[in-house]
Amino acid sequence: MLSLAHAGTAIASAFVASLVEAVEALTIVLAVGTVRGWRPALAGTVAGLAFLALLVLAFGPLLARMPIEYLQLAVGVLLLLFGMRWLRKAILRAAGVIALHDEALAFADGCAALRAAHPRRGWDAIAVITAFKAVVLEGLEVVFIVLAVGAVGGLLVPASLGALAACALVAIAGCAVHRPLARIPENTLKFAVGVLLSAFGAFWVGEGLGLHWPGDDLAILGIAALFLAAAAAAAPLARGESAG
Amino acid sequence: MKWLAAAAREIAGLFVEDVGFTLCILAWVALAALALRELPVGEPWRAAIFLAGCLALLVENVLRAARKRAG
Repeated sequence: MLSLAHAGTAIASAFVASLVEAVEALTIVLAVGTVRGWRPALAGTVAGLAFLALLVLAFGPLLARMPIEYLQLAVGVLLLLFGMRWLRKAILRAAGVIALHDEALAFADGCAALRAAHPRRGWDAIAVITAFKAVVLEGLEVVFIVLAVGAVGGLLVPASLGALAACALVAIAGCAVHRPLARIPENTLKFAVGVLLSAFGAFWVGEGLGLHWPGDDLAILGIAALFLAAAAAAAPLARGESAG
Repeated sequence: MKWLAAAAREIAGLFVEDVGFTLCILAWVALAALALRELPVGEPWRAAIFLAGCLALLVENVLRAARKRAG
């Protein structure tokens, strides 16, 4: 029986990760729509979303058939690698060691590249493919998170709904402002997702190895708190190191 | 075939950014699988040691990356 701590953190991870990736995909789709027209931008977006949905529908039930101990260990290791990669990058960005992702700059670069591309004739394949690629590439991370937290915890549908809700929120905001969502605190969100996914990864690897976590499912919250504390302490230390 | 290689690179990129960091995490998980059960400590301590190792790897790698950028 899954606890609220387990289900809540799984759905929150899918929602926040999806929010971050949808903001990045929206920037490219907006660039395509602004420079090459909205019809190919929407066609590419819908095709990309359909492809991502197919991945979830194909791999979700497949993963659910695996024995739980192997699934916990395999997905736990992948989540640990994925979550700690996100967290490492977010800490380095927070410390000023690497540059923050700039949506306004990404939008300007995208527009310039699309203007320089071949002029459109009939069906604008370049525009459709650019929007499709943006949605698929950004969405792959969300699909992994939905599959990972969904398949192991039996939360495929709630995690998918969390991800879809975030996409809908970003789409509505994008339609309303018609500009990249540059004010979203992307790195803070990535920091949060990195903490949650690293916590899930460590928890499931531990479960897969037969380790006993005090408090069972509630341990996820404690593990997340420790990852957060370590990451928050590492950011100023890294800033000091990079300053010399 | 080019798109297949690009897709494989993209999927690998989800998990690997700093190869050394990835290898350290995998090595720690392997070591935990082999050695933690043998440690003469109570059950919750094994989980705590595993978690402490993950946190140490993260902090060490972040500081090393920061030093590398500075130097």
